[in-house]
Amino acid sequence: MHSDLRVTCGVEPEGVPGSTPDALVQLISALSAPFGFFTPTPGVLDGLNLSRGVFSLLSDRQQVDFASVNQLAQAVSDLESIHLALSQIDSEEFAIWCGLGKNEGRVHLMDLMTMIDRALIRVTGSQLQLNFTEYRPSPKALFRSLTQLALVGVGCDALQLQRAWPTSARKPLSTKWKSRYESVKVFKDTGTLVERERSIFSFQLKWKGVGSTELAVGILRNHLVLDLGGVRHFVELPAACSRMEPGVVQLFKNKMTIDFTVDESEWPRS
Amino acid sequence: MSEPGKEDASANDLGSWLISVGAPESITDLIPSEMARLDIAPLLALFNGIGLNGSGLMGSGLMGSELGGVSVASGRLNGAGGKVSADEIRWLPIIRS
Repeated sequence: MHSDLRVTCGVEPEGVPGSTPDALVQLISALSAPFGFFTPTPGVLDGLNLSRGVFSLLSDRQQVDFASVNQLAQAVSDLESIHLALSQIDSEEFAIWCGLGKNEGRVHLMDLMTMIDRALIRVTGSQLQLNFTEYRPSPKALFRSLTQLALVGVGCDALQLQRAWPTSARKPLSTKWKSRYESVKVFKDTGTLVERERSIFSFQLKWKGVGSTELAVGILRNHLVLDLGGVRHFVELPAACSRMEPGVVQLFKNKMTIDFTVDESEWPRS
Repeated sequence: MSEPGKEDASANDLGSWLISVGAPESITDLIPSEMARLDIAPLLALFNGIGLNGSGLMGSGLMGSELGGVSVASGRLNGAGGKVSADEIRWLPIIRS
């Protein structure tokens, strides 16, 4: 599904004018106002530097520029990270706190999360254009960046990439690199939990070519953290995993598995 | 002056944060202890990401974590003042087949 967003990588972005998202301003006001210690105004927040890439993605502009594919991947990763952090705030305790403070903090929190959701959907469906006029990465570095981008759900048309490769380049793109770029697939899987043997479950995720990446895998609360050179994607784990102990990650050519062991004392079978 | 690392570790709960932005220490008596211990690290990290700490509004040294990815030391404080380790990324061993 395509969105109306056009993203160019390889062009130094201009400063993004505009104001801080209303939901963020309102969230801060709602959290701080009941205590009366400070009241950030939209004027104060306007002067702050929201991370440029994140701000660009949150803006409602139809065209955004990034200096490189890596910068775009990092911005999407940051946006996902912020969303995860906000979702951790949204707890029963937070709702109670907002209720007692008689403020709209949770409403604004939800608004901000919705805004980020929308931005993520927009960028994953965007039309991506590469421009190597100002800077041309090495084929290897570009492959790494495209893999990072694919991890956060943004695809790149390999044919368009080949056309963008400057004809003035000392070396044309080799067949080997063309084929490697074509092999990069967007990460889409949400995973499957299967019982491997008694008390051992395996959470399986498919991603073509994952075996040849330098992927790091971690767990943060109920999310799997997939990290590729600092660019992160989060996969929600099935609720059952919270009662199991994670073990070893196995990387195969086109899939990964994470073992979870049941602690019978935590989860007795009937 | 306390060590930044130590300060960070104790200032991510709501009570400490309120005090760090100017509230009297008695504020923790006015709000339920469960709320005072509420972890607001992710929110602080978000503010940090937009540079709000640079304005001095939140006090210096409060926000040690960065949100370039979730390197956020979040989590609820336990009764002894220690962190619940489940709130940090736990990296898993990898075997390549």
